[in-house]
Amino acid sequence: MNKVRRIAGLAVAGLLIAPFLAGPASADNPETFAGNAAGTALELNALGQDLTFGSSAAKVTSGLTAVADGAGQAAIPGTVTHSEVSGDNTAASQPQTCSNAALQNDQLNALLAIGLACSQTNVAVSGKNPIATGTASVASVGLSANTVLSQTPIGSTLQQVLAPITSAEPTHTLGSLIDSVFNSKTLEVTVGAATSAVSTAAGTVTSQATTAAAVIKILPTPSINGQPSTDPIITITVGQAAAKAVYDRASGQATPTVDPALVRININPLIAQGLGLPPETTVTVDQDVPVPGTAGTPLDSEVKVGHGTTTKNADGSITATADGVSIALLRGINGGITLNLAHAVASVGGTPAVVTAPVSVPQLPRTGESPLLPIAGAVLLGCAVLVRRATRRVHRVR
Amino acid sequence: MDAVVRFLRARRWARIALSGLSAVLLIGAVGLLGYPLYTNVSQHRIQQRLTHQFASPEFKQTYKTQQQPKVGDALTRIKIAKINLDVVVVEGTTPSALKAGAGHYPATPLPCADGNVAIAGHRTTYGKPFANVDQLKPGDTIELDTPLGSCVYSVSQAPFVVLPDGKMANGKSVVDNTPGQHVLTLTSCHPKGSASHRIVIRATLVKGLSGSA
Repeated sequence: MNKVRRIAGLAVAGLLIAPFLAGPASADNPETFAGNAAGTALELNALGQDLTFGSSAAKVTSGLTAVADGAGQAAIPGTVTHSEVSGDNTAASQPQTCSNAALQNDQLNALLAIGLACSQTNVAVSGKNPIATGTASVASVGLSANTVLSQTPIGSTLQQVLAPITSAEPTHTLGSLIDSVFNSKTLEVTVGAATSAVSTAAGTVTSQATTAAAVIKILPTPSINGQPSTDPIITITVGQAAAKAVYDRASGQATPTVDPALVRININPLIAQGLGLPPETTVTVDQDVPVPGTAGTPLDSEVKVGHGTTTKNADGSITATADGVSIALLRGINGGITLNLAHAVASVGGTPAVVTAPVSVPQLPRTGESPLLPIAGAVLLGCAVLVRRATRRVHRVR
Repeated sequence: MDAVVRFLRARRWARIALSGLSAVLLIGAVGLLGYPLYTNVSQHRIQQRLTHQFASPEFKQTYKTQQQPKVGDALTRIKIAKINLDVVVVEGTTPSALKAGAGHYPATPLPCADGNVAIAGHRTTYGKPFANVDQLKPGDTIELDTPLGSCVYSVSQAPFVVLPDGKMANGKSVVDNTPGQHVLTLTSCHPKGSASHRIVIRATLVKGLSGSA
């Protein structure tokens, strides 16, 4: 009987409380973000043809997607990798894939020797945090203009034009230099990898593109004063470049940083001494510097170092760009060759999750209390009587 | 049971607690039993004051000058013979205003005017004037008395139930205005004693303002 009373009491209490319990409505805006990174190790223009080596890209979104691309040489199968996933707790990767670069142009094929081009990609989404990494590189780029020059009218014309200069120059240094153009390898470029990565952590989304250092050797094995030299005529060292953008998921603020490449130009000591040139020149950002000693020669070259920029985009995201290094080489030889290196771009943006305060829906007015109030009152009255009886019994016994 | 009695007998604090519990339960019971009665008495007294106000020349003058009445002031008298309803309706639907039993939605037109005139009323407590609105059927008449005269509405459809936000299937609220139409809307909680839904009665004007109240 007591059990029945307890259950009845609980039921009455529940009925009394129920009308007063009403969950407010609420609306949430989920977090959105997107991060992109792209890096290019080398863009080359020779004989009017553009070639891209070592390009990588990575992208993640708050939709739990992660995509990474890599290309040792753009559009050449066997050097290209791609990984993509969508959804939490997923992963995919393509191990390093390499192939010899291919040049469609026969004339270019005779001029350029491209080393192994490789790429690899890796993506994953774990704990709702997507990450993507793409890496791409090309081992080397070599230019042998000597064979082309000796077979073309330009070469003979060049020799005729340069003959008086070489004979007039007392130390024969310049003459040796010009002889090297016709008799040795012209250019050797060693390019580092371009890595693009976007990672997501609990508090941040980080986009970062990095291009490793590159070394460009003009006439890497020259003959000076009849003797082979181990020092290239000109060595251009392009430092690492990086662009980074970090997005704070809590505040919705993004911070860009740019670390553009610096360039150092070294001239063969014998040439520098013979021509009275500084053996080393440093080119900092936003400078356009002719390579010392090359003006008026087939080796006429110029180095332009871009600056770093940060941009706020229309959608609120930010972009960091390391504008890269542009080197116009050997402009005296058939229009020369243009190298663009160390280009890195990273962008990121988003909006934090918005949990809106519960919205109170306008309601028509309440017009009445529970009709169970009198019943609840009667139950309480019964309980009061029972307790009162028990109290009196305790007192009476005493 | 004897063990419990012995336990209580041996401890003075337990005996005091038992007596206290008995008193608390008694007070709670009286409160719960007396609350509806209290609201009814309170509503009755408010209605007396409103009836007096409704009949005053000052109120008639204020109404005729189309001044917006203050929340809680008398506005109109609603009469539904079918359910023995006859109360003065105040302006406003705040909890305080609705202690009068029935209140006019301030955003809706004045009684008998063009548009959707809406009135909310208690189904329980505070005189429960709308206790039996669910018994209204199409054709039943509803009369509104105002200082400008009386008008008569006829229930146009069977009572229907909506969620507390008052939204209908077309997304509009039952108390949204309907310019060009002469409609009266009554709302109250449904079912009785619950705020989970609202019951709605729709009526259309069948006889415009006539005479002087």
